[in-house]
Amino acid sequence: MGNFSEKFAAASGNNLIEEIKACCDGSSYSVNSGTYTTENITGAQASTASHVKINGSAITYTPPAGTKYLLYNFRFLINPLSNNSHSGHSSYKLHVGGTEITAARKHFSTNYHSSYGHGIQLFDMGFVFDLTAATNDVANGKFSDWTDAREIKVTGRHYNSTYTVNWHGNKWRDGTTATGAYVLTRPILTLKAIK
Amino acid sequence: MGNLTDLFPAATSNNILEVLAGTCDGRSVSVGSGAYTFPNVTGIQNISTSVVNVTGSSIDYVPPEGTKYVSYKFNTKYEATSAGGIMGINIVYDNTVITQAARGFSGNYMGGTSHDAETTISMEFVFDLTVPTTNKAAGQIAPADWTAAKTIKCTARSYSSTYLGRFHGNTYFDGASASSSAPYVKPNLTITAYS
Repeated sequence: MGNFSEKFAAASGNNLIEEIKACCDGSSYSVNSGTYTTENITGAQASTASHVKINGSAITYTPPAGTKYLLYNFRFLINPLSNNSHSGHSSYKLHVGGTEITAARKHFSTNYHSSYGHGIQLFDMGFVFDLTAATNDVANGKFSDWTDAREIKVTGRHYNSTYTVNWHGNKWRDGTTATGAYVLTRPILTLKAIK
Repeated sequence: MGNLTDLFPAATSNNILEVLAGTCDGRSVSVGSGAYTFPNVTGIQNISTSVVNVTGSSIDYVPPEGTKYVSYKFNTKYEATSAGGIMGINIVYDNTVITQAARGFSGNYMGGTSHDAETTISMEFVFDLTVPTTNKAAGQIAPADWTAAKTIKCTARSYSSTYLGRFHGNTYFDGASASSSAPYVKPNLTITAYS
């Protein structure tokens, strides 16, 4: 008779504890750290002049025991709100537990045109949080005490009322006109807990 | 006495050997294949017509034993500083350009007056280590040729001196003007080794 460990091998040594990759359609995902339900995006979302949550970006997540690094990425579509929205200038922030990760700030724009706002692009808001820090430095995404459930989310705003944008909606698709309906592109949310 | 399977769980079946992920802030991360220090990006990087290394993109990596595929993913910001900011960017393995990973970026051309375009750039490639002979330009690396650390990085250049740009910048963030001191964002780098 051989060793038990030859018949019942130890779990593989990879350092990915769990991963969630989800279209934001209201589905629930059960992983070791719990069950998470994504937001259900049903249509485009218009920007405002102050920061608001980008629908689909929020998840209240508890890192599983042993997590050293947590990768978060939110990929979503940006489309200037109207034909006269020029370039779609808009700014984005990442937050954890109500505090902004200032090191993750990003701005989006297509090039300016006086009459046309045609630029449509996917955009990534992501960060790899460091959970090995000796002390919290939340602005730089470093945590010493993240063992509980905390909301991660992205907020956005337009530059000013001349440069409004829509999130998650496609104009012009398949030959539709400027007044045609937005066609939904669901954002994709990714979380990787790494030890 | 409980069941043997409670004490010796079956080996996990996923094919990820390791995930090396970090925001490029100089952090050190240890995974199965070794200890790695991520680049520390401390500001924007203007580019010109000369090919330069994109700051934050470089890592000297050696895959763990049994690796069949290595995914390299570099996610950062880019913004035009003149005209459309046309640029070309490559992934480079051991000083050889991966020709299939080449890509470009440009905002829409509006003459020399407007250069607002900025977005996220995600450079990604999956190296194939199942081949018997190495073809670096195709990203096919025989396992025997990648047993020591090899540098993977991105290089970039502007199309011409009329179409300049810079990495990691956010010039117009939250309503700031074109002449503001641009806040920069640190890129993210993720390597995944698959069996």
